[in-house]
Amino acid sequence: MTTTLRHETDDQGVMTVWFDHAGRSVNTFTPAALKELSDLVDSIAGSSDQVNAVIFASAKQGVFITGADLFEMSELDAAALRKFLAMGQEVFDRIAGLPMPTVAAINGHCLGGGMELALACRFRVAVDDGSINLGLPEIKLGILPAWGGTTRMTRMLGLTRALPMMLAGKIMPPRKAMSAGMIDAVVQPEALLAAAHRLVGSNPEDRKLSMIDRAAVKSAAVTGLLCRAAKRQAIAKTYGNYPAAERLIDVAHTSILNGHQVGLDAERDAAIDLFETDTSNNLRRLFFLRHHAKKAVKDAVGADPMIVERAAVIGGGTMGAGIVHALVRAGIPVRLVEVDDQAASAGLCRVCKMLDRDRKSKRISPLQMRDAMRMVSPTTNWSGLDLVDFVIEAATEKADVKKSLFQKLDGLTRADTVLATNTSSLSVSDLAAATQHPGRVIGLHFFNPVPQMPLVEVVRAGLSSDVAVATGGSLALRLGKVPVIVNDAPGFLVNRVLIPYLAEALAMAAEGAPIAHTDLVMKRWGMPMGPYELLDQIGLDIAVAIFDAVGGQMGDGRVMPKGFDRVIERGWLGRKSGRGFYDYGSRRRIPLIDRRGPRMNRAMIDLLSDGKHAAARPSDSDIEGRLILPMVNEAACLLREGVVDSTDAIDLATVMGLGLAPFRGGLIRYTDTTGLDEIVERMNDLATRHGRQYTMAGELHRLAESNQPMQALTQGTDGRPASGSAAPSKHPQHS
Amino acid sequence: MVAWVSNNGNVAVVGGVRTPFAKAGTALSGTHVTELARTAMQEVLYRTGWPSSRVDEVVMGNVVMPADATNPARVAALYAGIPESVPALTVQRNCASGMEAIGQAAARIQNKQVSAALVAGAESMSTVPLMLPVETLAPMTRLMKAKTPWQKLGAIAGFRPKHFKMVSGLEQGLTDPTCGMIMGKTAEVLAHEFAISRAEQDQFALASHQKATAAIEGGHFEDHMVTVYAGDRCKPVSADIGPRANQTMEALAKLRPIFDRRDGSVTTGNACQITDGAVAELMVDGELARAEGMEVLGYVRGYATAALDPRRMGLGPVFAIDRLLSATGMTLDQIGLIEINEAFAVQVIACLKAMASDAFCQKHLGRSGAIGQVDTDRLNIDGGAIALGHPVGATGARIVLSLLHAMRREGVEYGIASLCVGGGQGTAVLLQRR
Repeated sequence: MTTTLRHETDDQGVMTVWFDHAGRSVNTFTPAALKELSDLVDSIAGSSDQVNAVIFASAKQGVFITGADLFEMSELDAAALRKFLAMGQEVFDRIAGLPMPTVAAINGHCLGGGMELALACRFRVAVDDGSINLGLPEIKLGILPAWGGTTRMTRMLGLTRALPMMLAGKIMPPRKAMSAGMIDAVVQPEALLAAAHRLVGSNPEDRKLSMIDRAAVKSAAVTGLLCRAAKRQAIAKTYGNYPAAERLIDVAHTSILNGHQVGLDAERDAAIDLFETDTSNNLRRLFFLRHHAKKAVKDAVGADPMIVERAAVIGGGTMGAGIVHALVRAGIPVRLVEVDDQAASAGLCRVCKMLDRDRKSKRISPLQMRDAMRMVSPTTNWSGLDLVDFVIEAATEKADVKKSLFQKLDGLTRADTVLATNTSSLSVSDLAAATQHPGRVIGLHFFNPVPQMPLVEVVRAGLSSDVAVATGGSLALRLGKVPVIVNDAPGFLVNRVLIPYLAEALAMAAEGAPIAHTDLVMKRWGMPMGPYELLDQIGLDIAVAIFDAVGGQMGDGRVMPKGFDRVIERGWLGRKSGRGFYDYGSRRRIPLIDRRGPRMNRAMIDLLSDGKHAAARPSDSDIEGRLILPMVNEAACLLREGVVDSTDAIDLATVMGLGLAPFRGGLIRYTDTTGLDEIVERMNDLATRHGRQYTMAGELHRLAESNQPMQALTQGTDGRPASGSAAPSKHPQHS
Repeated sequence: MVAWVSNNGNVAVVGGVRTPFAKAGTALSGTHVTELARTAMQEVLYRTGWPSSRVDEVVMGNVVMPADATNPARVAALYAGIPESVPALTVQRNCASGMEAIGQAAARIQNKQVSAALVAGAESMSTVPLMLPVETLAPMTRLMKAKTPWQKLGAIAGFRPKHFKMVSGLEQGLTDPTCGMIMGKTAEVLAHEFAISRAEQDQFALASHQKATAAIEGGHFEDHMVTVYAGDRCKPVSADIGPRANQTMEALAKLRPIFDRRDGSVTTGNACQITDGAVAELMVDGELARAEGMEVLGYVRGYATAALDPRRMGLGPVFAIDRLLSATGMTLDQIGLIEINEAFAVQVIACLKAMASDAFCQKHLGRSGAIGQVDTDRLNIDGGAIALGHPVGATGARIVLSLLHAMRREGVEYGIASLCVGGGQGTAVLLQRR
């Protein structure tokens, strides 16, 4: 009796193998599932006179196979892991070696091990559904495709096509996967099995490798050249922080050079090595945290969410339009409230542009794009709000404007409609106080640009009801975002942690720290961009506004460098004005990553530093320390004040919201991996040399003295990972 | 069914909106008719706060049903987010299609077949296609069936210049094949028969522009207008394109008759404009509307259709109003406001003359005397199709909506809206405020 698959053979001798993991909503490869598949393949090989073809299909809605089961994998010891990896390779190799045609009929998500199974088949056909993903995203977990995926993909598509996809861990909709050469056909969902039966009788098309790839197969020199170039590029991008990238290139190199079997061995060895690195541990833990966000919301809020059938968004600016876009993509009709027709038109255009990007990436068809646009109904007269279940206000960030908006919304909506504000700096409780039913008011803080930023802070104000918070969290999940529940406090979580970082960067600039070098050091540390690049990106005027609004409330008495007012006066506002810490020139489109990088804006830097730029020569570790440690300190304050109650939430939010070094696993994980005692020591050292902003939060001191990790600050867990929010994986300090 | 009557309070119109009416070839020319209708339908539900799941049926008037959306009511309803489970029907009675939709929906509500109907009227006159003549079909079919290059060449050789002579769908649509007359010609017939001068017609047209511009300035349309965001750039279109504030008699007098160059008097200035636009109204069972505490714009009390000589189709309103009054037992002097669609200035004037004529009414309607004199101060008080334009499928719904708002504003209890219909028909609806 099997529990993960069943099979049937028709009168033509075509066997259909149905993956249907009992009691689960998705199919994954657990060791048991793999064993079942292995036994089945044995029996197929043994009865090859009766079976003329094999079709692999899934009985799960929207899911083919999402890969190896990471939860069970994390529980395996090294030997068992090696065995599991070897077994997968061996089963897929036997499938590839079956004498009869094999087809993967891909009805839904087909990731990692699922894709590797598909690659081992002779044919791959997928349904035409832009919402499903295909690909080999292993690298995002710090490992590589090790069930023949790296080898097969490289040999099938050639180095130049396969490497970029695998290195980026790219997942894509079926149409994109087809043009990438990964699958043979894309068909209407209803026709999937018919197409699979048709393919059984056809001959595989000859895949034509590009000229360079054909040369690479023939000449070791060319292969070496390509791999070295790929490595250089990878290191330039990752600063060597992601060892899996380099290993993947090595394995691809080997499989081209030394053939399939040697490639497989290299793959397996690399996967086992990588699986045990801190990087992979951290990335997998983040994956679990993200995976558990739904449960985390449920655990944190003791109420069932309301169903949101229709929503309203107030304001169609960049943020508002981004939120509208997310809502209509999730199939939720939106009433978009704007001040006048022109503003509404601009808002619609913004939404349209975002949808067009989805269309270009083949996530949606032109038809779906038009349907999505029709779900947006703009109004300037505020009518129809009694029909909506959820309102997200994304108007100008001014307290009096927002307050009167909430007063107005209070009268225009049903009493059970949740009213959410997208404010980043105002007090949600103050806005709630402007209404008759403050219980339904929450914050729902999206990040800019909304389509790319996965994090949403769900802000619980003093009087927010559990239902409202639960509904906000579940809506965020429905939009494909990762919700983190925080209590109402200035700057919430992400901005609160960010401010000390940026403030310190400004202070360092004033002291004459080298700007470009500081940015480089922080990128090497793992930030997606350096602090000065980030300030330019945010806009210096906006940064000042955030400092004023939030920093003031934080009351830590940080002051702006004295030249800063004059910088704003001069119109040096950052990227948007063409000049900030860097000079972006007059080009309208500025590539985010420029090989040479933009030139520094010396006039401004001199103004800020009183002409002392680069006079100070802090060591790299000093730069890191001065910028990172204040964030750690702020995180401790957040926990003390109860803004968040778990260190996991901080890790998730800092990675998803700030892009903070995913390979380090987030701010708290970084602290605990480094060792809290060392962090505390460095902080003390900095405090003596640089002043009181490094005065450490009391609890860090206490924890360090009692030899506990910072993770112990999670409420009520005494250092054990919060139940359900962390994987059953072994964290370094527990192993 | 040629006329039916409803007890007051049974059939309520609880809300309505229309898109701007924009002269064909201007701001809305690129917007598909289903997209115009979608905008109006979606908006009326938001404005009335009526959940789309509680709409029982969608009925829409449309004359030139587009080839790419052959039941435009269904397409527009789905576009508007009405659930897939709600049926939708497109009705066609030429110029009265929008009113026919209201009539049919009202009858169903009256009969308790549905309790809420979303009613619409929509037309995109800009997108009425140019066509190839029907003779082109034969050589075209031969070409499509041809297999060898020789056969193809032979088929191509079969084409003649006449096969590529474009036919205007609009012109064909406005021509009645039974009498061979384009609508303007039927208007000329009435001008001669009722001895209506060019100056009289131009004066009427001028008044239409003046009333429409005054209504716009007075904000009379504001509360039932919805902005259309047209095209890829979502360009907002929020005002009617048609009414001319600076219209003068001199300018009207300069225009040449277009349907009969020598003896005619109908010009583009004293005929309705060719226009794009859509209207949507929500009609609900009166009892239900009151139970839900909804604001009611007015009630539908009766609907009548009548038919007559196609060559004199412009007199349709006389026949329909006669039948409506008889069926409801009302007299003309009880009617506070009247809308008679301005297909042509001369046609409306002819209707007024016919209704006031003992002889006409005795001969054609079998009445003992005239229906009565229509006070022009009570006629089309916010302007008519000469200024606002006549998107044929939409107008019937527009004049009802316009009349309901005017009745409320003027404190009038009863109103009648009526249209003449190409092909020789007339329709009329009786509305009651409370």
